[in-house]
Amino acid sequence: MAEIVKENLTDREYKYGFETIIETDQFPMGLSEDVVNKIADKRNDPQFVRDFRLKAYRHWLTLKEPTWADVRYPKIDFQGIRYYSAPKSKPDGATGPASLADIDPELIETFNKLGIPLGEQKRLTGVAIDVVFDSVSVGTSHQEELAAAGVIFCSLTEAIQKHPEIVEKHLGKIVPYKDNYYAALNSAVFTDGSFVYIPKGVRCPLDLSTYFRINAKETGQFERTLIVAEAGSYVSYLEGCTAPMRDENQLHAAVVELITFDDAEIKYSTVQNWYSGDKDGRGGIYNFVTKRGLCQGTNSKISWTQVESGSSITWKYPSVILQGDNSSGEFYSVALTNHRMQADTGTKMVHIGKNTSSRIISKGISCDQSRNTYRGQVKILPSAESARNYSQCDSMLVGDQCTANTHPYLEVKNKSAIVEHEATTSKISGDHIFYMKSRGVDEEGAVSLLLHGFCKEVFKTLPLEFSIEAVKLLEMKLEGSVG
Amino acid sequence: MTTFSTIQSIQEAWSVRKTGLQDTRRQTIERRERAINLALAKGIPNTRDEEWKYTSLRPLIDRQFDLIDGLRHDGGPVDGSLVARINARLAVNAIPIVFINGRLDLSWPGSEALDSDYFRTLSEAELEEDSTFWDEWQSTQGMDQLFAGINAGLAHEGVVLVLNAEQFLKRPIHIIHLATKDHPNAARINRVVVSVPELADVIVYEEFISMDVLSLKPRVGEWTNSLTQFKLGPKAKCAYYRIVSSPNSFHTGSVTAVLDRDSQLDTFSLAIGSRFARINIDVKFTAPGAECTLDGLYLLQGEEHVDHHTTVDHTVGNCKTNQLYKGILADKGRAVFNGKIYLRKDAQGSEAYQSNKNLLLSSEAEVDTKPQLEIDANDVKATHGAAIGSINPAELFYLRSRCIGEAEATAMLCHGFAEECVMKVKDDDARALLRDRVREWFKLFALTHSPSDPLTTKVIDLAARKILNEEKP
Repeated sequence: MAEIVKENLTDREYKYGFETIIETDQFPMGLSEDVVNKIADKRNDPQFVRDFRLKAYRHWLTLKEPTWADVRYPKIDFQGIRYYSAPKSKPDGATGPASLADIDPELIETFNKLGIPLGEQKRLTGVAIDVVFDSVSVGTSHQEELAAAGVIFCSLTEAIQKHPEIVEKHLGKIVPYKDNYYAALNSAVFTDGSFVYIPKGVRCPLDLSTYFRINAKETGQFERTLIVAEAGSYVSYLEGCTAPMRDENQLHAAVVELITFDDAEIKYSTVQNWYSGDKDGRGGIYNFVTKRGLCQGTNSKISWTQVESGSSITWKYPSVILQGDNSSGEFYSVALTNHRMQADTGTKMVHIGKNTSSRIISKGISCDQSRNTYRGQVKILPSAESARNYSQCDSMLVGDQCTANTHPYLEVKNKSAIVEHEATTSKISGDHIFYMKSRGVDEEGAVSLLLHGFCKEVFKTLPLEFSIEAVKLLEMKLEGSVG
Repeated sequence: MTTFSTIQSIQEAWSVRKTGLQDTRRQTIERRERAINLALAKGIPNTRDEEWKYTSLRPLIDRQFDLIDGLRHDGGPVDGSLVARINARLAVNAIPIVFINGRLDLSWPGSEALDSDYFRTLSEAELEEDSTFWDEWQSTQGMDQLFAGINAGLAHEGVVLVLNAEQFLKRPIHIIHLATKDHPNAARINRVVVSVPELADVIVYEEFISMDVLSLKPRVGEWTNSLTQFKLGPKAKCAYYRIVSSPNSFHTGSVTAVLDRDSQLDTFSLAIGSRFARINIDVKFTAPGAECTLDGLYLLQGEEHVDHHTTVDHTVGNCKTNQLYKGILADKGRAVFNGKIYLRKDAQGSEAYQSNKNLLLSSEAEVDTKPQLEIDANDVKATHGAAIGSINPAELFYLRSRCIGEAEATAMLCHGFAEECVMKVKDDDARALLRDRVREWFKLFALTHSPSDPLTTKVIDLAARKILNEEKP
């Protein structure tokens, strides 16, 4: 009996840990120029994409793995990873299924398990969804409604085929392939991802959402997201991620590029819950992601919100380049680490235009033996007249084995700028819990209340359904850590 | 002439120094060699190195320096007016220890009050003390850094203060490193070692000045490499005030401190003039109950570059760190601040507060600040903060609404900004001395900037004049 109870509890730790057995179309392990070419063949890439991949691959060969982040892990064997894995579709569809009806029912079942029904019932929640399973995008809902508004929301593969002119204009412009080691790797082998184009003056009628899942063994996921918001447009985009439980580590190296023109706004929210490894740190996803937004137009705005609760290692700095005058960037983050997870995450705000402003709110919660590091850079260039930045980083330590670090980098080259940074550290102690218990709140409720209070500023920026999911996720992760 | 641009040239400098050390004990030579090799093991840092991200060593290592030899000042009796000028700068009732171009002058008027009970020169102490004494100083945190290592290896003379338990030095020690025009390219390498055992108490001033503090002729600057080390026993108390005031000079300073149970160390680093300065301060708590104050103020003009790197390591519980660094930057001044505070696993019950504030007066000035907290213990109170900005328009408006002119109001705000830091100093005499030096900087600023300069200049000029008027009575 005790065994069963224990098993149930273990299951609760990561309920998305199942694996879906479906037929997949995979490449053998390893990376070479040949593999890059084969990926290009497979995806029927136009010449500019193929050139981009090859340039990136050749550049990647000259780079060394970065070591400056405050994370420790054994060296990654880049030849031990499968760079392409796709659910097998009908023989005629080399570029992925044409419609929802073509998708393997097994796969649909998987997404239902994850709580993402792709079908009609989604219309009620008003979220259009694109799903990326291992390497390819498997289906996008609500296409008609979006098309009526002129919004293009599809997989990157489809976009490359149908709208090559837009993709060519922006792909690799915000995160060039030379940017860093993992961006170069991604540029060489990216297999799919989402593409969003909001035309001039359009306010996207739905919240757009992408769901990423790594399923197959020994695969890496290298997706690439590109969002273009033309002048005066607005879009809110959500992203969620899970992966099965495995003993070995899997690599996830994604690139996200956002660009906003005059008066446009992109709101990008992530709830990241990749498998984080077991109690002893076995397995889990290495999440090495490059996310960057460019506020090119005046009065434009990019806002990142992230809830990081998974991955055995997170190495992620969603940043904003504030080029247009009066543009603004925001970064709201809750990063929770438990067991032996390591997170080195933060942001970069580069102020170039006049009157640009940025706001950074980062909340780190570390439990057990995990390491949680905030690393953020605020750079005010001489041209950024009257720039304004406010950063606040709070850490909460749960237990006495964990680590919380704060590394802000403030670089100011203009006297009219005002830059402020504040950081505090606190803990959930037995005293807090006792106080609330004495007022009739049970232990779970007490922890939940404290969490709510700590993360309120970030959660209130999340879309409603995500905000509820995020709180549940954190509560689940913290179970058993506090006392 | 030697450059310090490569590992090889430093090793050559060491072999020259080694020949000069033939008369000393063999273990001294070996110890020095180990120290220099430890520091050289990491190579010459460049800006890709995290610790040197914002400070390039280029200006320093491209230049040629004369490595000073000889232990004592042998230029005969020093000119009386110089003595008067220097002694006028001493802290109230302080005993002077004066280095002239890196050579110790024991005949300096006032130095005779030094008691051999606690005072020795570095060369004497190297002869008398065995390796256990020196190994302890060598093993402290921060000694693997390049400039600390160069000092430990190449230092030609220094001061060793070893107090007795419960000894209270009523008169502060005021160490002056003076650079004169005779050796414009001197590389001065001096070491200071201060041991404050149980219940002992001492105040140490260390001031780096050049003769042209008030003359305006730019000249080729000398290089000062200093290493100052403290060891505090249980319940010991020590205050250390450090002033760098030698425009055009190059300065690389290292300070290390090890604090035992319930001891207290107060430090203040004032940087008011140097072409290039890099100051490393490393503090380590080894037993509970100790307290450390790390304050500093940097005032920059021209093309000055001042870089403070401080590290406080809480390895044990119930210790307290309080840190406030402030800076005013004019012209093309560039300031770097990196403050690291580690709260290790066993540091439960510790408190650490860190703050860095900068005032930019010119669009060409630059600040790079990186306050850093690394926390491995959960029962701690730790905060840090940084702020960078210009004169607050609301504050300016408030003063103007009270009939104070814009320039004068700005001057008042600048002074107030610097004063916040100085007024924290508990010791009355030290506070007065530091305040005096801050005024000196404002005066110097007024003299080097023409009145036709834009607002900022006028402001400081006015500020200086206001002070000069105050001083008239």
